[in-house]
Amino acid sequence: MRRTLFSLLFLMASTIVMGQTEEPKITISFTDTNVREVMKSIEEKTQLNFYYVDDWLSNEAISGSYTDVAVTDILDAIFQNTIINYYVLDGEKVILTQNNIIYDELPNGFFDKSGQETIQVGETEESTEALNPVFFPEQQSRLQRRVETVRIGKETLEGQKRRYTLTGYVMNAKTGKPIPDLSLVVRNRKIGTVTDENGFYEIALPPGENLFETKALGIETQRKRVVIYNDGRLDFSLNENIEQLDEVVVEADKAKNVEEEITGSTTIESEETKDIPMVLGERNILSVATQLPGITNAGEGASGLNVRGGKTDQNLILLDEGVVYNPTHFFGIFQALNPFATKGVDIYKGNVPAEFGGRLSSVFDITTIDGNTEEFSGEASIGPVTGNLMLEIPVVKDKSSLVIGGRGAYSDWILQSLDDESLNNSSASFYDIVANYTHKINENNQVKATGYYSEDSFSITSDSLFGYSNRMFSVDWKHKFNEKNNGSLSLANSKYAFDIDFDGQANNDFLLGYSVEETEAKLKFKYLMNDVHTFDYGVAAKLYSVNPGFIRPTGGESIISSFAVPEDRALEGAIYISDEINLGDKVGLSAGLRYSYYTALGPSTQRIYADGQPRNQATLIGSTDFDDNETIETYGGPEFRVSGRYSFTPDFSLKAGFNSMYQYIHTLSNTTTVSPIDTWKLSDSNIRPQRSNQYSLGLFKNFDDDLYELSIEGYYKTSEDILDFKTGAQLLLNDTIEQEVLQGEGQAYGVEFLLRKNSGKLNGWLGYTYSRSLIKFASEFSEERINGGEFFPSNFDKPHDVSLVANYKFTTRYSASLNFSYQTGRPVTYPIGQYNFNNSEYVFYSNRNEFRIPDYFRMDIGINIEGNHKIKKFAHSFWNISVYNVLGRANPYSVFFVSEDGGVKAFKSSIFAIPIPSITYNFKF
Amino acid sequence: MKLHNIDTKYVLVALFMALGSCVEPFVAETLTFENVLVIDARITDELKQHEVILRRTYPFENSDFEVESNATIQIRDDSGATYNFQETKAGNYQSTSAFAARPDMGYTLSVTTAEGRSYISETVMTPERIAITELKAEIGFDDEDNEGLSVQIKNESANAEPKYFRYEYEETYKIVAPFYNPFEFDVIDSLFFQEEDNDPLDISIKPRVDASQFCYASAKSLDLILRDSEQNVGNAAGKFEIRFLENNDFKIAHRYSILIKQYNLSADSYSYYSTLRDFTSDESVFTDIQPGLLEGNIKAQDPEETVLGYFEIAAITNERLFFDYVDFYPDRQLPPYIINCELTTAPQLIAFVPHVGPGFVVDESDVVSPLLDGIQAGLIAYHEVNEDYEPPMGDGLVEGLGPFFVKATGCIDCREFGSNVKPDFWID
Repeated sequence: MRRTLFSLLFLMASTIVMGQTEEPKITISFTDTNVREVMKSIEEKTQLNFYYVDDWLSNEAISGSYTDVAVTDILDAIFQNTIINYYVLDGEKVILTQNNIIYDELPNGFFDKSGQETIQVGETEESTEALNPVFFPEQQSRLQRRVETVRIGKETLEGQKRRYTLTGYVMNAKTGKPIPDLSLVVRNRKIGTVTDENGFYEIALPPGENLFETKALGIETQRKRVVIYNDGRLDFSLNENIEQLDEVVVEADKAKNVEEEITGSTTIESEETKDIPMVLGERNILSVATQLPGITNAGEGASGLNVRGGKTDQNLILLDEGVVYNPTHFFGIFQALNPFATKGVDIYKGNVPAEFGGRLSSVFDITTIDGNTEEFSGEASIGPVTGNLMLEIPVVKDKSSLVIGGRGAYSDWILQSLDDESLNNSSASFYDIVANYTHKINENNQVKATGYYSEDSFSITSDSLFGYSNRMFSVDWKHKFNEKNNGSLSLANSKYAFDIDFDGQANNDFLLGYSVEETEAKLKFKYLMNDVHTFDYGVAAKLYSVNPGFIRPTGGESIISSFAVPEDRALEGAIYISDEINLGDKVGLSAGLRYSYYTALGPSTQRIYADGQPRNQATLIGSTDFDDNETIETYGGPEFRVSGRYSFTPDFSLKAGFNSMYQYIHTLSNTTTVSPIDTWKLSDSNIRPQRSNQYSLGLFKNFDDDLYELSIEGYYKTSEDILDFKTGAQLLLNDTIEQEVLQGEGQAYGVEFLLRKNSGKLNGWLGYTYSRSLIKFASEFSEERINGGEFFPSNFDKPHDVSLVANYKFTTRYSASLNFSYQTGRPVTYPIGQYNFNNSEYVFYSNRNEFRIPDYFRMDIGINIEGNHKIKKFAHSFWNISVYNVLGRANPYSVFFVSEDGGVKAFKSSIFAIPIPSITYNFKF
Repeated sequence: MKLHNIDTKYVLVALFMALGSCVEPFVAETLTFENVLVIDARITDELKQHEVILRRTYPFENSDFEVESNATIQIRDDSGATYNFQETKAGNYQSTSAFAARPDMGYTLSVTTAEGRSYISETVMTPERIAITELKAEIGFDDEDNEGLSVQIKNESANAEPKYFRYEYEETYKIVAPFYNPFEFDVIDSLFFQEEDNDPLDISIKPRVDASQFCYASAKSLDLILRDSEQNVGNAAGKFEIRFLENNDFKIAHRYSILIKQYNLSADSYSYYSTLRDFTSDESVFTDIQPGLLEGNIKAQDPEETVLGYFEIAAITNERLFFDYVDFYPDRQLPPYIINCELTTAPQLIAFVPHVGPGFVVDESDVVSPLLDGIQAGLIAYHEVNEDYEPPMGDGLVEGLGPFFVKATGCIDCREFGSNVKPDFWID
């Protein structure tokens, strides 16, 4: 009915000229009569006929007396306090309308918008200048139709305003008390208001349809379609909400991808990774990171990540501001971070904020969760390898909280219970503990202290026991000076150590050990100058102390002599400033400068080698002794961190960046992949720091209201003075390590493509990377050259890399996940023949990395079952059933040759050659 | 520091096999091949005609190496003396006169091939000889906690410099056939015709011709055994285990002898050998030593040319040790024999009857006789007569148990595993 009426009115409004010139005047009086009767009387006295819907008219009694008055004046009077409008057509028909007014002129610009559906014009676009009639959209979603429609006010021809004022009162339906602080949100307008302490509200609304939604904690959400014709009043009577809210997710940074200035950054939330199938069901954000473009590792059993063609020692891994040297357990297969206590990681692989420095390739800024200050809660899991328990303990309600997480492997027990005799003697176990304490002193001061310890121990034969550990402690005090300035002071101490305890048959039992320790103080400030400039600046100082190796006899009769390579010490300082410059919606710039400074400190003896000669025992011509804290050598220089963004549209931007870095500490490793007994070495007079420059360019586009993120990034990176070693170098307990070290240059480039969908039933990402990583060690001396001094592929040069991570939610409780990963096989050094020497066969290796192992591919699947959400239930459970390497493909990890019994045997190894199923049970309380 | 004591091979691999990892052998292909000269020149301070071997590298697909013939080889010492070599066998060159490397003397090797390519070594000094103070065996445990006999060496020297050793050994052990029998099968091609003439064969027994109860077998070490004293107090060499034999090893069941050849090396040659070993020894699945071109101390005149091998001057010391199992385990059962000798069978004869003459006659062709086949293949030996055997009556083929009980040849005749000639050095 409504629809046909509208059409009719339009037709008439556009064709008929209003004939009000000779208005009939009548005399009429009525007492306590309803409107219908009055209209009947008017019909009798004139030739007018009234058209209306009976429901619109109230039965309210009205009285009045008019003498020789125009009918329109009488009608004005009787409809004055109602929402009824009327229209006199052709001088004989009076058409009553509810709320609406009948226009006898077309709105301005009506015909300009022809071709569009007229009814929607001016309704959805708030910015339309013309004051248009109020119409409902013709099509409404199913949801909207269930919503009650309320009409407010009477449309007037005069005094049309762009905004009308709606006031009202909101009360609790049960108690009748006002509800303060209730949000009234107009969903389709993106405006809203809040009730005052007495439950009153006032909001200025554009005419037309407004989708109202009430929102308050513990109060039911009510939706109303409010059609505004004029100022008016709308009261709400709301029930208390019976649904307990479990969690409120505040989503920020939805369009961070496109909007932030810097290139090559990613965030992984630990919680988000829980659905991704992993080896033996162990959540691993570092492994998840390798599924992202630009981040790889040398293989499944390789600890350490290679970011954009960088070596594994070029990643700064921070846990709450403190460095963790080896964040993995068990040769890199498991992460050494408690997944429950870890909030997430921000990964910077392109432009690194100026506050970070000291590693060439990337920063993994891992943070722990802030404990629940309201109530005691926790999370626990039981998997095939580890058990994990994390507790959040409020200390002072709403102010401070303690988080304690512990995780341990029970693999020792598994090994002991296996039948295989050779395994009974072996052991492999690990654990990690993390604790933090957060205290919100007041609005302006907050303190967080974090402690972390992880340890691995494994015995390979009955006579030797290997162990390594990470220790970290940090305190961070955040202070807000005022609205525009805030800062933080943090102190961190980290230590990584390993040892080998040998207890054999002969009299040569020993304990061998290594450790690196660093202490850092960092002062950071942020100054929000204005809408254009935001400054970050600060200063940091770090003291390193490396114990490069010691050996000492154990047991009474060991003939091993105690020996230690003298301690190395150094100080690294940095000062930085960066400015986030916002030049309107389109252009943003991030300009950072960091100046880092390094001093190798005594006491030390530095060896001097003859100039223009290869470094070896024969060219060692002397040494210089340095006293305690005496400067041995200094290095340093400016590091530029510049990037900019140009937004074509709010969801499409182009970014470019330039990033330069210095690195003063290096790993020494003579293995093709990382091993836990690799050591870290500080730069000194013979070993220079590594440097790198990276140029990057990327296009970032979000689709469908940030539902899909698409990016293509390219980079070109050069590095200098990266380390490698002479063939067959002995690195442990070597006090003339510089004789084994080679320093050369690196070149890496690539294009990274990523399509990511962050929400919805199906979410995940698809990444493809084409990248190369080449290194070169040239020298005029053949013993200091590798591959003839030409560029050759690094151990982790894998040109093609495809990763798919997908999760599909069937219901809120059931979801399935899939990983797929494909990579070009990594380069290996393969023999180019064999030979006989001393009655035994040996293989003949020549140039490094000239061949590749076969391509790698792997698929994992997982099913995740969330427990039901009953409130009374003690714990919220989560089951994860997964199969790693479901195709059972034996991806080659390495190829090696063994000379045994006079002959050569070729072997290939793979780490996970069969499908690995696992079930993990997690619960929250 | 060479952590050669830490042998990361077995267990870690096994551990990861339990987790689904695997190490499997494969047939290596040569992807690209480079033919390079290999010089194997190891000279000692022993007075003899020393040998230098010249070979070439070969691809995996070839089972045999190529040799480098017709080269000119010379060793010159610091005093100017030269020692020339002559090819005695393809690729093997022997010094024309006997000489011994003298202490504190430097030696240089030069090689010129038939094509005129020449190679020269660095000057190598003769290292000091460190005497073996003690060579003994004692009960010990290996790194997997298996009990056995550990053959250990001990050196003492006043020299406080680091010492470097390479060892080779040759072990010889006595084998006693557990079911020795003074008789053996006698298979005679009977009657009038030649062998292979398709007439019957006559199987009987006769007294043993050759002694086969006691034999001696020898084996040489093939893997690199290296040792240094760098980490030891005062660089003392101390004790070192050269060989470990599990106590159920048949080699030590009776009497065992081991000849230790100790080569004292220079630090440089030691480092060459230890790298060679690192590149080609068992390793753990996870730590993969970066291999590369292993250059020795010999350089080609053409700087672009690669040459493999090493010129080693070593001081050699030999020492031999004998021991019996009962010296250590007087009351224990001896280690099991090499093969299982429990099984006694009486293979079918499948004889041709009647026949004339002694023994049992088997047709040389057409008929398949398990007994004859086993004897002829050398798989079985005479153990005893089957007393229950009943000679068949009348014509036709005989089935059922044969006339002789037999055992695997090795159980009766020790020559399966060694030589019945007692070595010259053997002391009972």
